[in-house]
This record gives sequence, structure tokens and C-alpha cells, in this order.
Amino acid sequence: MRMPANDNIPRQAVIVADSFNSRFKPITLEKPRCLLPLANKPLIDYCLQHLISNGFHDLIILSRAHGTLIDKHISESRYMDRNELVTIRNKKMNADKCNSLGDAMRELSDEGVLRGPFILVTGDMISNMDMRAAMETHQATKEKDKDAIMTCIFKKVMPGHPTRGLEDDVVVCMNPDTNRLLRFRNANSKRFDYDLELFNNHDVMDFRYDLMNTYVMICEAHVPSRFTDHFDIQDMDSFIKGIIVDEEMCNETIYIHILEHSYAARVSNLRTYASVSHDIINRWTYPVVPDNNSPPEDQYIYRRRGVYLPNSVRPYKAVIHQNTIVGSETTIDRNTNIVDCVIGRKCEIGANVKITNSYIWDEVTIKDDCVIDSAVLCSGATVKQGTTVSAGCILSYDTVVGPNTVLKAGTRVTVAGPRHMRNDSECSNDSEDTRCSDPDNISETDVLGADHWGVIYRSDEDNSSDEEGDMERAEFNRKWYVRHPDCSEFDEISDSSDSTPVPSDPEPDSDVGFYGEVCDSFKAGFAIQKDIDNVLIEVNASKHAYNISVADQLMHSTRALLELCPEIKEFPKYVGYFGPMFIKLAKDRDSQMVILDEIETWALEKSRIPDTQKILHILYNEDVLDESYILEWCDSADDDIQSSIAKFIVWLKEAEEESSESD
Amino acid sequence: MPPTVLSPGLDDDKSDGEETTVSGLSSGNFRVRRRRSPEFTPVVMAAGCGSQMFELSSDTPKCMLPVANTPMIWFSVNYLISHKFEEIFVVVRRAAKDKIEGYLTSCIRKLEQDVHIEYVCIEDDADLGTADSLRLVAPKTKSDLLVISSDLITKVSLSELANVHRANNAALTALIAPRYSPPSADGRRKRNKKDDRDFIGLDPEDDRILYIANEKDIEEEISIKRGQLARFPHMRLHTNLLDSHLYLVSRTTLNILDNHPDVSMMRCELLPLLVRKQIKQIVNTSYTVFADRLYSKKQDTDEDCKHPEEYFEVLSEVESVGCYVHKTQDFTVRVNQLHNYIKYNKAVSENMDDVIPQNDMTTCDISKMTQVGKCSRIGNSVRIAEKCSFKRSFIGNRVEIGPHCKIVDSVIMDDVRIEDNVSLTNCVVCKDVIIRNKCTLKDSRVCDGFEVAAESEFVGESLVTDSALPNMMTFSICNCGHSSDAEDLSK
Repeated sequence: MRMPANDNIPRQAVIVADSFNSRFKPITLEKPRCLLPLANKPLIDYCLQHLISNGFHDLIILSRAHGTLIDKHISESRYMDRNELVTIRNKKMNADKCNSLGDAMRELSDEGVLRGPFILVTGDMISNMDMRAAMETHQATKEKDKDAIMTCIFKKVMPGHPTRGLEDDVVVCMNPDTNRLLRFRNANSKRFDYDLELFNNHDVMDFRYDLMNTYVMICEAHVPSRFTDHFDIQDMDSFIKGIIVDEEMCNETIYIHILEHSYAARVSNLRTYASVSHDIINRWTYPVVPDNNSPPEDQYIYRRRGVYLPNSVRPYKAVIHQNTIVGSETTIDRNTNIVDCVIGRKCEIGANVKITNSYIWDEVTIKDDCVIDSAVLCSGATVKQGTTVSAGCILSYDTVVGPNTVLKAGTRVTVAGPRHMRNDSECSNDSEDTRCSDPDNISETDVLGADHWGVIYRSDEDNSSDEEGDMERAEFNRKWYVRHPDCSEFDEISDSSDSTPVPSDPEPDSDVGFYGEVCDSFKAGFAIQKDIDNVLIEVNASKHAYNISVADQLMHSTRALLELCPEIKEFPKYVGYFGPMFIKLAKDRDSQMVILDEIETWALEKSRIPDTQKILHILYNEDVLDESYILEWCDSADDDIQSSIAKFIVWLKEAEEESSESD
Repeated sequence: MPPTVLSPGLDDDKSDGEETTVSGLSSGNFRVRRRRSPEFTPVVMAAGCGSQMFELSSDTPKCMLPVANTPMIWFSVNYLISHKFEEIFVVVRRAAKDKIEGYLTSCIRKLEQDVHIEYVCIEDDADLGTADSLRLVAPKTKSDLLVISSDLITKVSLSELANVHRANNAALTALIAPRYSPPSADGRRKRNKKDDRDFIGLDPEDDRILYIANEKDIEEEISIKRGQLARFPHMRLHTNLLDSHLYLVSRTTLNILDNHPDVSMMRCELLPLLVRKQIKQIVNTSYTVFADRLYSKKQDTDEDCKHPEEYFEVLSEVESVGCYVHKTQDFTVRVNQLHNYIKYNKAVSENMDDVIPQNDMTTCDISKMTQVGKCSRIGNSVRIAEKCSFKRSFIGNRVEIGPHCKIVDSVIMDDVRIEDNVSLTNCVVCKDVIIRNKCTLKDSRVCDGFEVAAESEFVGESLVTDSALPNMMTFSICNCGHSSDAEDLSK
């Protein structure tokens, strides 16, 4: 690789892929945090993609726990083969020797892989920032102050914002003229005292509670060796404090760069996991959104109200409300309600299930009649029939709960951990099992259900005395789930100046409004048998007023037509009147499919499946629908619909054969 | 000379030690005044006793100390007059009242303008702060107050300040300016360690005051409350700015003052109280309360329901407290510290030339053999013998100076007699002092009525008469740092 000798621009990036804490336990007992799926994509992929797109081609990952899993993930991913310039190295550290970021940096310093200034990031970072601006500031600072060793990137985030964890609740004291960081402290006390001495060298100082450390740092090459010089430094915060407070240490300085408009957040705990997921769904992170830049086998279509569906999917029988991602090959049965959720791939979700505000990873099975509220269901988890998973529950990998149980709020279930023995699987599946593993003498069967698999996880309580432990526990016990209406107000405050588009809030209204207008136009037009072209003009006008896409216009029109017709017997009359309009609108395959999909959705929702055949027939007779598209659509339609329209399909096929024969 | 009229019914029998005297002055006939009520009523705080420059103010009230040969109260009064204020309240100590009144009366007569000054007296031994003074003035007017300290000398346009006040509908608006320091040779401004810094925390967006304290009130640490940062998360703390003690105070603040009878000082108590109140207030309260009350009112009596806007006015006054500043770059100093006294004399002389009354050179008798340097000012009826030299010095009225004197960087007040061959460098010589032959004084202060014996030499001393000493001791133990004072004077 070409690199001029005196080039001071960082070209290497170091990714710290271990958090050195246990916020995500018990999930992280089995998988490292950076491989957890966030909006159906492993966390570290966001970070790697972001770095590569910012021009970093030499990436060094520092991993500790589950290092081999990260190796595997990197080798399977497509970063290496897409661009041969990119090298990703994974330095696996000894979990016994390396217990903190400080240890990792010391090891990095010994390795000698760094060739110059570099970028230090954590593996759980999500951002759409342009790092060039920050690197330019660093260069400029470096010219003015030779002692500058680091530029930390801070994001402007209002206090109380859900992407701020407890440990991100910091008060920053800086010089606004130079952006030099002067003090940095956690906001865990009622008041903050600053020594008068601090004010002797600076005329103006900014005290800011609206900044959050993104832990993206532009470091000079000798930063790791500073960790070696001061072997007792464990984490980044104490390193920063050490540099800026203790002037004797090395008289070096740290500067900060403030992001005003880009997005940057860390998934440092479950709470931020939830809020960052929500931000991604609401496209604050654009262009880092599910429907953009995803692998070919995992493409999404962005639908209105923040719903992301797989490219290949047929309409579900279920009702999917706003702010939801559904992964590919997931099946959802009828009468199921899904709101504000992320659902992974290959999940099976039964009928009459209600899922709100939850994060469901890959290959999760949820049987019928379950209620899941604000929970995390890791890959392979199963919720048996009739089970209620209450707010804050975590079902780790391959756990089973239920049937017919109510999990108390905040229950964390895992199959990993010291108390669980793999070989007593029969025993744990046995409903007679009375293994009492918790001190309260409550049998886990009572808590987790008869068919449970896994034990209740409790956080280790041995690290109790020190302050760090307190914080850890506070964060662990804090309600991690975020109710979205609460955070929306923070969004408004913090990002009012933001240039990114406002999330989909106004959209539901516009959809409802537009649908109402269409119904009114249709009704009025039909009543006086107005010229159908005039009705179309009216509908087009309201389409522009509500900023509705052509596909949505067609969908709403179809829905309006179906709803307007009181009885199936009357339908030919309506189609006779509205038919010409639909013929004008639905000329190509895609728009035909929109009509057919909408008919299917409507039939499933309103239980009008038996009428489907007649509707299709009439539309076919009026030349609104084309036979080839009906046949194509029918193959993938809902089973019940398929069976109800079987006769019509047979007839269609025959007619087609006949016509081809006659040719 | 028009007679001074004591208005009947406002005599000395007030229980709280307050005396109000109305002196009506006009250029010609005495007539009843009917003024339209102004937007602001100016109040000059002239009751300060000058605790930080007590050596000079043992006999002269602080506001009458000369700055560039002009008693400093004239600067604030003239400032208000030049902004067309016609009625001015001046808060004075009873003992100093006659002196101040006499001086201001004579000055205003020269201006031939229709200005009315009302004196509010504070008993000499009463322990009343500036906020207490406000309480005395507040009932006398219905408008907002403009509070100005008598030691402020500034060129700032008041209209800019008033605009900030109006735009924010502020409870209080303060004027702040960069701390004055003469441009030094290397062009860099150095902080004088002796200065008490004002710590002023502002919201950079709208210049709202979030923190205000003076260095001498802070013990070791500055503490910032989390609740405050949560409400206003970005605070810019300035240490190089001067709180000029010029405030616009709204009626809201005066109401708050009524509810907090324990608040006595404006800067140390009232201001922090208002700053705290900003944080506690809840946004939108005023509006909801307004709606509720309007509704209930409507039910009671439909016809005399107030116009909604009126309601809104009333309630927003009660609910919202906002303290703001206006930052200025114009010349602004506060003469309140001894070590700055000589420096500021020079600065004011240079910057405020249009305000300083010109002396009448015909009354002086200055020998042609004497050199008076460019930056010096000489008062009326001064007699100077031959072969003296003056550089950057200020000579008061009726001063007599013998031959062969050399006076550099010094301030000499009225009625001083200096005999032959005296050398003064960086000294302040107060009233009625006699300095005998061949004295050499450097970096020293000579207090009222002192007589310096012949051929004495002093460096960095305060020379005090025995009779004045106990008076000064009341100013606590401030005089612990004489030698360091002297060092500063030499700068």
C-alpha cells in the first residue's frame, strides 16, 4: 500500500470489539456484543461499513470474548472479497490477561502494528458521520498545538435522550475557541464542582451537558504507549481524565470535535439497543437504513409508516403496524398484531399473537395466542402457546418458555451459565421437575412454564462495592425498553436543527386523510354517475396534496372500491363505473400486483375470502386485471385464498390454453 | 438661584430611616411638573462606602472621589441626562447627601436642562444593601427600573441594552463589557491578578444568564447544578468580562423582591435568586393558567371578561423570569478598587473627554517655566510655581505646588499644598494634605488631612492621620495587603 512517509492522515482504524462489561448479559454469554443483530444486521457490520466508506482500508479488530466467532463472521462476510484493498485483522486477546480497554491498548502497543495516527472506535458504534471534517480539525489542531494527542468526536445529544446511557451522561468542560477538552466528568451528582484553578488559564469556558462521547477518537500513534506508561489505566474515560487533569502526566492535550447534524450512537446497553433500533427504523441514520446497502439475499422494501418488509414477501395475514422490520422467510399467521418491532429471518409467528416494541431475532418460534411486550427474543428462542412475555424480559439463545405462563417483567432466561447443565435436558423438559435453583425456592417451572428450557439469569452480585459496579448494576437494572412516544419529544428537542427528514410521524395521517378523500370522491362520483375522468382528476389532486405515491394511490383506490360496494351482488355495477379508471391506472405488472395484493389483504382482514373469486372474475371480465398476472399472483397467495379461487383459476388456465391452441 | 423646596408631608419622621427630599430645580420659574411616565426610571446607587478603596474615601464619599478631576457620580448622572432622563433617583447615605446634592445641583445648573433629581437617603449606620434600596425606590414609580452604580463610567448606548431587555421580555438585563486593560506593548491583554473576576455563565444562543458570581464570593470551587444544566445544557462561562452593575429591572423582579424580604444585596442575592428562578419555571405554564382563568372568568361574569391578550400579559409577567445580558465592546470601567484607581483615571481622561467638564484656566496661576504633560489635567484655581513637571497626573482644585516639583502618574485631590522639591510617582494624595519640602513619595497614598514632614521618603505606604485611623478600621482587615497594593500601583 502506498503511504507517503510524512503523511499524517490516519489510515488505520482500530475497532475495540469487546465492551469489557456485562450490560448485555446473559445474551453475551454466548455471542460477543458486536455480533448481536441490530435491525437484522450484526452490529459490527455497521461499524466496518462505516469505516470502509470513510476510506479506512486497514482495519484492526481487538476482540477478547468469542474472538473466533468474530473471525468466522469476518471471513464469511463480503468485505474482504469486494475490495482487495481492505484488510481486516482480528487480534484475539487472552481473556485472562486482558480485562479492560487499557490492557487491550497495552497489547496493541506491544504488537507494533500501528504505523501512524489511527482512528479508535468501539465495535458497537452506529454512525453516518463524515470523518473527514473531524480529521481536518485534528490536523489543524495538531499544527497549532504539538501536544495534541487525540481528538474525540462528540455528538450533540440533549440530556435524557434515550441514546444516552448512564455512563454517557457526562458533563464536558471545554474551551470554545480552541475546542480543547478541559474537564470531563460523569453527571452522577447533583452538582458539579470545579476548582478555581481551572479558570486561571482560560477566559472563556463551555460547560456542556448536551454532548455525548461517541468514543470515536482520532489518535496519534503514541496513544497506546501512553497506556503502557500508565499501567493502571483501565478505561478510556480515566485515560482522558488522566491526560487532561494531571498536567504532570505528560503535558499533553485532548481536543474535541462536535457533530451537530450527523448521527452517532453506541449500542452500549439494552436501552440504547432499543433506541438505536428505533432510530434506524425512523431513518435518522440515513443512509444506514435497512433498505439500503444490504446483501442481495436480504433486501427490504421501505413501506409507509416505517414498515420494512422483505423484497420477496407476500402480504401477511397479520396486521403489521408502524415502525417494524420483518426479515425474509418469516411467516406470520392470521390475526396477529405487530407494532414497533424488529423481527428476524426465518421466524415462525403463530395466530392471535400480539407483539409490541420487541426485538425478535432469527429463527424464533412464537406459537399461537402469545403476548409479547418489550422483550428481546434471541435466535432460536421459542415461546409456547398462550404465554405472556412481559416488559423487559430477555429470552437468550435457544431458550424455551411456556406454555400458558406469564413471565414476570424483567425475567432473563438463558441456557448458558454455570448453573445450567446440558445433560439434564430430559429432566428440565419434564413437568415434574422441581429443581430449585433460585434462593426464593420458587420452581423455575412455575415461572417459566412447563416446557421451559433454560434458567433464570441473575446478574453477578460480587462486584458491588466500587462505583463502577454501582453504575453497572444501575444500568443493568434500569428499564431498558423505551416507549416511543416518550422519546419522540427528545427527538424534537435535540434534532430540531437537523436537516435529515423528519421521521414518518405525519405519514399515517396523510394516508388516512388520502383514503378518506378517495372514498368521498368515489362515493360522490358514483352517486351522480359523474364522468369517471373527473373522478380521476379529483383523486390525482388529492394524491398531490397528501404526497402519496402512485402505488399507494392505486392501493387506496382499490380499497375504496372494495369498501364502497355494500354487497358482492352490486359489485359489477361499481366495476362497470370505476373500471375505466383502473384500466388507466393499472397498465403494467407492478400496478396489477398492487391491486391483487390489496384484494388479498382486504379479504383476509375482513374475512371476505369466499367473495374473492367473484371479485377477481368481475375485474377480469372488465379487463381491469390481466389473466397472466392473476395466475402469477395466485401461486404465491394465501392458501385459503388459493383454495377459494381454485375454480376460477382452473377456468382461467383452460381459457388460456384454449386461446393458445386457437392461435 | 431658585430656592430648594422641601415638599411638605415627606419629612424626617419615617420610621425606617428613610428620608425623601424633593428638590425642585428649573432654569427659571418654579412650576409643577407633569411628565409622561418614562419606560425606565433611573436609580443611581451612590450609597457605597468604597470598602475596596477605603484609604481614599475616609472623608469623601466614594461617589465623590475624583476621576479625571471629576467626581465620579457625575459620569453616571450625566450619562442618564444624556439619554434624556428627566427624573433621576439617587440613593445616598445621609451624611453624604448634602455634599452630593450640592455638587450635582451646581453641575445641572450649568447644563440648563430640565432635570429633576430625587434623593433617597439611607441612614449612615443602617445595614441596607442595594436590593433594599430598590425596595425604597420601587413604590415611587410604576415603570421598570434602570439601576446604575455610581462608580460606573461607560459610553454604551442605553438603547441597545433596552432593546435586549424588550426583545426578551426580561426580568433583568445586565450590561457586561470586557474588563478594561490598556493595550500593552506586545498587544496582549494581561490579567491583573488583583482584579476580582466576575464569573458570568451565559447561554451562547440567547445570552441568558445561567451563572453569576464574583471571585470574592467564591470560596474554592465553582459548582454548577445538574438541574440547571439539564434545562440549559450549554453554558459558556466568561471570566474576562465585567459585570458593569448597570441593570434594567422589570416590575416582575420587584414583585419577586417583595416575596423575598431576606434578599438585601442585588448582585450577591437577588441576581442568583433570579437566575435560579429561570431554571425552576415550567414552560407553557403561563399559557395553561391563562386559559383556565379565562374560562372561569367567563363563567363568572361574561361581560367584564378581560381581553385575552391582557390576561396573557399579566400571567406571563408572573410566570416567566429571564435574565439576559447585553455584551458591549464600548469603553466601560468600574472605579471600585484602589489598585485600579490611577490607571482608570488615565483611561477615563483619554476616553471620556467630551463628558469631563473643562476647567477654567483663567483662575489658575501656572508659571511659564513649568511643564504640563499631554495627559495631565489641572483643576480650577491651581497655583503652580516655576520649574515643575507633570506627567500623566491629575491636579485638583485649589492646589498649591511649590517650585521644582516632579509629579508623575499621580492623582492629587482638592486643596492640597505641596512645597518645594517634592517628587511624587504613582501616588494618590487626598484632600487637605500638606507635603513639605524635599519629600519623595513612590507608590503611596496620603489620606485626608495628613501632613508629610519635610524630607521624608516613602515607598508603598499608606499615610493616615490618627483621627482617621479608627474610621478605617471599620473597613475590616482589608489593609493586610499594603505592600502588594503598592506593587500593583507600580504597574
